[in-house]
Amino acid sequence: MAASVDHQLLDPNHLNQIEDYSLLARVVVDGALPGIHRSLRQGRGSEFYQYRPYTRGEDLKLVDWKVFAKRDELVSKTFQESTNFSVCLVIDTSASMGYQGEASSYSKLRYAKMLAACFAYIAHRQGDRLGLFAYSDVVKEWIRPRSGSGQLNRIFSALRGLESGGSTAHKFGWEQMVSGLPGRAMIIFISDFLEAEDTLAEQLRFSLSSRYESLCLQLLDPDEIDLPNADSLRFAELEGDREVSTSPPAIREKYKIEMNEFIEDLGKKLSSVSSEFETLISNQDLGCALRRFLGMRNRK
Amino acid sequence: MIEFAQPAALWTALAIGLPVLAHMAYRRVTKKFYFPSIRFIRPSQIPRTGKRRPSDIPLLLIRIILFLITATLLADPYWKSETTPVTEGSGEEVLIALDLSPSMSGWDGLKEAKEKAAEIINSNAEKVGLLIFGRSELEKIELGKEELLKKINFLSHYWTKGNAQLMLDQVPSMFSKNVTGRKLIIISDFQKSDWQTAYSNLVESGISYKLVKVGQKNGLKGRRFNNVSVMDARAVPAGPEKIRIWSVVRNWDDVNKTVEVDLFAGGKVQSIVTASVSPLGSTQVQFVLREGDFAEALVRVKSEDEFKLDNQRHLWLKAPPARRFGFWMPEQESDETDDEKSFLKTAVASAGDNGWNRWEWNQDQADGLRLGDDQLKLEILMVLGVGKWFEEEQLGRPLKIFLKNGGVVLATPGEPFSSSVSVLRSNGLMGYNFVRVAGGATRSRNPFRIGSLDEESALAEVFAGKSARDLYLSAIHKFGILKPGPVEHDTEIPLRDREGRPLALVRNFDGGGKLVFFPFRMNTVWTDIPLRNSFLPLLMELTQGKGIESSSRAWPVLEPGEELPGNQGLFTAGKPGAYRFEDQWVEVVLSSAESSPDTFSQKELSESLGGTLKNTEIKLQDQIVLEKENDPLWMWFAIAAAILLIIEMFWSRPTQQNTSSQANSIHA
Repeated sequence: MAASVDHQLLDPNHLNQIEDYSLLARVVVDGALPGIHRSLRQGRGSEFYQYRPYTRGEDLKLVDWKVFAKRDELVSKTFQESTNFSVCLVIDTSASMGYQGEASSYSKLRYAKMLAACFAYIAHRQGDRLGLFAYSDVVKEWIRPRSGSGQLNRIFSALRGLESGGSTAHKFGWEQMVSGLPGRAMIIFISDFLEAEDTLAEQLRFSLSSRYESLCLQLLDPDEIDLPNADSLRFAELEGDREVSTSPPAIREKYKIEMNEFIEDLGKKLSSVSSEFETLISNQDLGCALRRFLGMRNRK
Repeated sequence: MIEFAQPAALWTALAIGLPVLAHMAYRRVTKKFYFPSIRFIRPSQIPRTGKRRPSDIPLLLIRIILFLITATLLADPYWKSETTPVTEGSGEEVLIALDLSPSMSGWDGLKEAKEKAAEIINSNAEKVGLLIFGRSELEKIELGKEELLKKINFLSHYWTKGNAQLMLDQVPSMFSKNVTGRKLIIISDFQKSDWQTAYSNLVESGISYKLVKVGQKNGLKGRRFNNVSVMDARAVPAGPEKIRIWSVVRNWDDVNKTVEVDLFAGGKVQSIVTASVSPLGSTQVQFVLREGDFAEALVRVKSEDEFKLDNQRHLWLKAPPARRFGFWMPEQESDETDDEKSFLKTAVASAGDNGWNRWEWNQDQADGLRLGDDQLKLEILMVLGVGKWFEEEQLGRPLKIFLKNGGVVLATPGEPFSSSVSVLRSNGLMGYNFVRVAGGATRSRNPFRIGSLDEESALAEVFAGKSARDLYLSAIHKFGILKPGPVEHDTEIPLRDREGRPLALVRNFDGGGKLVFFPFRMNTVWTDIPLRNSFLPLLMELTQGKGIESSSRAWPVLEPGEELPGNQGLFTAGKPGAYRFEDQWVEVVLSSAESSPDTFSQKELSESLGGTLKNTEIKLQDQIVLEKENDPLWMWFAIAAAILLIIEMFWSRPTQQNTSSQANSIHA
């Protein structure tokens, strides 16, 4: 892993300026984190990767004879060797993910999409099969895991189209997604996991199997940690009709305690089903999440 | 310019401080904030922070204007037109209302009143008028001071019972228009019987008033002393050729009085009786005279009391005319008809009492009626054995006229029975048809009996107990069975046999007349009813008509002011006395209410006249005038208030601006 990291390139406030998820991912992965991920497996895969000068002793089958005829120079073709490992990105797109605090210049969903783009790029570079499952109370996107650069473009394209809305229904379509996972797989689950502590562990129980791994990234706005700054507010639920009038300064301390208890409780329950858990605040840089992902991936 | 009917209500405008305080003291908590989850958010007390300057100035202005308009609305604004004529006074008018009811002649009331009136006239420089009241018409006298004083000296009391309400009702219109002051001075004894129902809000009408009480003569607490009156006097027959005159003397004082009462007739005192009358009580005094000696008499109380008008009473000693009845019969009289006639004549002639309520058989009147003279006074006409003779003499028309004039006709059937029924039906007198004569074949069979009377009928009230048993034991040997015909008349069946067949038919006519038809003859061949005790009450009850009820068995007694219609004119009662009017002998007596010594105090009366006494009170009157001339503005203010209230409600509703901008940023 590289020791030096350009943190500016991981700053979501900067990255938010980049509309193209392909570029964004390359900026993050190739620019800010060069070498932190395992290099591409080159070998006899079907996916052409690049040319390189022929070295003695190499199999002559790799020589591109057409290039030799044109340039009178021996060059070998290298192919991307695909793994039999799948990475499935699961993104919660419910209305609560659309929340954008006054301190943020982007919503939680935008942060999740940036993160997912980086994961997808890294996974693709490592030759993993790549899939995307986005849902709220309906399935918004379900791209089955496949390998190849076309799959990466499809993922980026799908990410562009995701918008927040609807209520959270974690169970909805879950079985459909899990049953579609081939062989060994890793689930990257990005959500705010609000109201999910009772059901989420049960859903991720498959992580106990040696074939699967899951990483739950809880994404919260700074407001959700600290409450907005105002003397009095009439809070209304984004995914419901309930309203509460209160003074945030008056309840802030108690709120923080209860929120932390909730996060801890969630983490414990997920670790009981061998699922990795990390809480991300949407004003943090992407590095923490990426390192967590690469750490897990490289263990495989 | 705008003026206000209730200017005190403008104080409510001070309430504009409320919205100002509200805008300075409180901050609205209406900002809606969408949040991912409110799971850990608990409600809490919203801090309210004061401010140095009011917030939301436009809304505050709207609220202040709303409060001001509401305050103005409560003050009942109206637009006073510049063209409204200003009431310019031409001085003050004083109207003296002088009570001339009969009671004023007692207790030196009138004398005292004249003195007071003269005093008022002399002491007032303003225009003074005199209003005389005490009967059904008011008399207004507007003369110069001298003439007015002379006029007052010649005034005397009326005989009619006092009517204070009439004066109070008409007083407001008696004043001239455009005067600055209207003052009414009422001079009266304020006798309770005259004033107890009087009411008029003189103050509201812009009239100041003053009550001058006269004729009290050392009375205490509204009660005067020393009055004895003859309350009633009547003459009744008292045995052969004698009449008894009895009178009631009342003592209005609360001490015992012994008085001499005499009977004055034929130019001299015929009899004197000394009577002791208990405090506030009455006693009867009787005199006996030979009948026919005198036509009228005067009962007098010899008493030196304070009110002399009620110390005597005139009465007629003549007997009132008897009630008359007569018969129509066929020319050829039969035994049956004779029997029937004698039974009925005896019964009806004995129907009166021992007094002057008596019945008289007057065949001349009946024969005159038969010849078409409908002006005759006959109360009951008995048509015996109705048959062909009735049709031949064309008696249907005079009979109908008699019935329409309120007469009572009693009819019995003739021979053959069927012809009686058809004659009555053809003349439109009865709508029943003949079926057959029951019991006509033989007399040996059991007689028919009268069925039980309808409990709610008038006959059932008359016949109860023994008298009812006597009626039910009556035997009817034969009678004609009738059934309703096609023509419906207002016919009652007060009497039926035990099988429900009619035994008496009664038809009432519009003019109060009544036709009673028995389907049997009133003799012993047909029935034993004429022999029974119940015959007379049955006969009189069935023949009791409106005309008979209304005919009084005494001469008419009127109070001054009352009227009696006659055939040619109208008799209006004036001074008490005995009068002859057409064929009536009329007694006019003073109203007994005038004898009452009770009077109202000025304080009690002032409540009925619009409150406490005020000398100058014309504002209200002016207001009434102005209301008529000015336009009320409350409706415009109400509309303005409603519009502002709607604007305020729209303006102050929770705005969506903050939440929508937040939502936009969420979905961005």
